[in-house]
Amino acid sequence: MTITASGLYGLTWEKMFIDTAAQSMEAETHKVLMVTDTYAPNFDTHDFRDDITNEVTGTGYSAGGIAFTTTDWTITPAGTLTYDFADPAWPTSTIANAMAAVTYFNVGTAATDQLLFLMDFVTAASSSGGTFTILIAATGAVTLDFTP
Amino acid sequence: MSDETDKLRAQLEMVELEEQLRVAKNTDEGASDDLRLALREARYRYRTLRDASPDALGPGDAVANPAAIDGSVGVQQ
Repeated sequence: MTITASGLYGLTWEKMFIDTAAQSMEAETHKVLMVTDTYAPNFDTHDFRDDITNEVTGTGYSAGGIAFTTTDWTITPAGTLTYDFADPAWPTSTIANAMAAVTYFNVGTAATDQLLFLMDFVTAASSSGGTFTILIAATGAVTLDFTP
Repeated sequence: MSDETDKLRAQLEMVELEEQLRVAKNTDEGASDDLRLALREARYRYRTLRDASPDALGPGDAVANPAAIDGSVGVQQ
């Protein structure tokens, strides 16, 4: 078991804070891919998509994943920044043992796509000719408590 | 009103606001804070109902339900 927790990829967030990522998180072009539990995330050093290993494969799933849309940052509840988007889904898919989703800025190539965050499913999920859906939590995908 | 009706109504409201957000993002003004807040609240309402009463899965369907990533941004005192 190499995926033990969700997390933010620090190097990309550092770039956003110092204005060198050149991306808006509210763009509608970012993507989400899925990996098996064999991928060993390193949130301190993994920065581009070419650091990702063990992406899932299968019918109805293309390498690199799909765009996630209707992205929004809001200040809600009070004192908290919340990042959210529509539930990503792969219809008519056969995908085995997906353990986590990895989001990234879709710049264009694996060497330039900047990693954003990993969402740990905790329990691996598999579809078999049906729809694989990531149900984003009611409280959003990412929350940042700025008055801890 | 049944739970399923509440959930469906909340889903429709969410989808409508998502469409409004898509349209607004393509304008010069962009999406307003009010619209983004309304969508966030609609998503919260729908997903809370969905999690309390999950839809039955079809043959071969799968769902993953990751928890929100909770981060804290502190200021050194």
